[in-house]
Amino acid sequence: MAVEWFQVSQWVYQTLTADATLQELLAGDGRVPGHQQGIYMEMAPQVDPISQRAPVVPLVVVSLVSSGVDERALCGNRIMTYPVMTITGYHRQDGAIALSKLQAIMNRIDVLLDNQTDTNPNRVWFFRDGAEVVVTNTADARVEYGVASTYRCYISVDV
Amino acid sequence: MPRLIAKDVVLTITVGNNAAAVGYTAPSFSTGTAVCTRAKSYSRSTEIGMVESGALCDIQQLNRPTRISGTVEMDMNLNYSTSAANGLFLGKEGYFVRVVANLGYTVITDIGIITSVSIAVETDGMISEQATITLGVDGDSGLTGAVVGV
Repeated sequence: MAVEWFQVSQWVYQTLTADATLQELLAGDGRVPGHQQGIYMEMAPQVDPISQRAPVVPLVVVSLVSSGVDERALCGNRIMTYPVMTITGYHRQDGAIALSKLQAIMNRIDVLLDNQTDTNPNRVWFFRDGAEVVVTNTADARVEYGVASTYRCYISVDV
Repeated sequence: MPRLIAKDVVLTITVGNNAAAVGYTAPSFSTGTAVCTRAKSYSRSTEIGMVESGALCDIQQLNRPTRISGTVEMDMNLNYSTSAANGLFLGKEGYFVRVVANLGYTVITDIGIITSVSIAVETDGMISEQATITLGVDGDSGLTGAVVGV
């Protein structure tokens, strides 16, 4: 018995951070890939562990939305679990929002995760359910916006 | 506290090594396999046949019981990453089978023949297999373990 979404979170993080193309896209304008962590679990920190400064956009936050409702067999064991994760790419802009800056990032994430299977062990199926725009107006008139892709995972629990 | 949930149910099936056939050959059985870890549901229903023996002058029916018949239906999840990928019942139509459902204080043992097997595959669900076992078999010399040998 285990909490399977731990494994899924690790797999998502490792998959995203290991991709050189995504790291290039997350570097932004005039910065080198890897100047900051760029991909964070649950929330972006106040201080990035690599740059030792506040994280700058673009950045990606991976968060668990729901662990789902597990399905059980007659003898009580869990047989399937359905965690749901949201992966949000953030950017910031003064004035009008241009989602094109995030398009390449979210497309690359989708290539890496949609319809993919965690091969160790081969019993996890990960796919995107949708994507929506998230907009936050800050007090100093800047606009922080993002695109949140929702990914659903099917995990067949070992029995 | 009464137990109203189907938890800790142990479901064991034993499938004969050969199908019932014309020119009957006694089936041989291996050790039963506990399948409760995959079972989504177990359903058993039985009924007894009746004949009406009333005479013309009778003013009511006079029913007499004859033979019990019934079916067991099971819905199983298939773990397609193991050797059970072929299914538990798939291709076993016509085979003798023993089903033991241990509900705790109640143990139901049935002997029957697998008469219906279906498999379902959906993108938003599991791969599952449904089987219907018709109770009441002939020539079941290897099936003496039946508690309810209908």
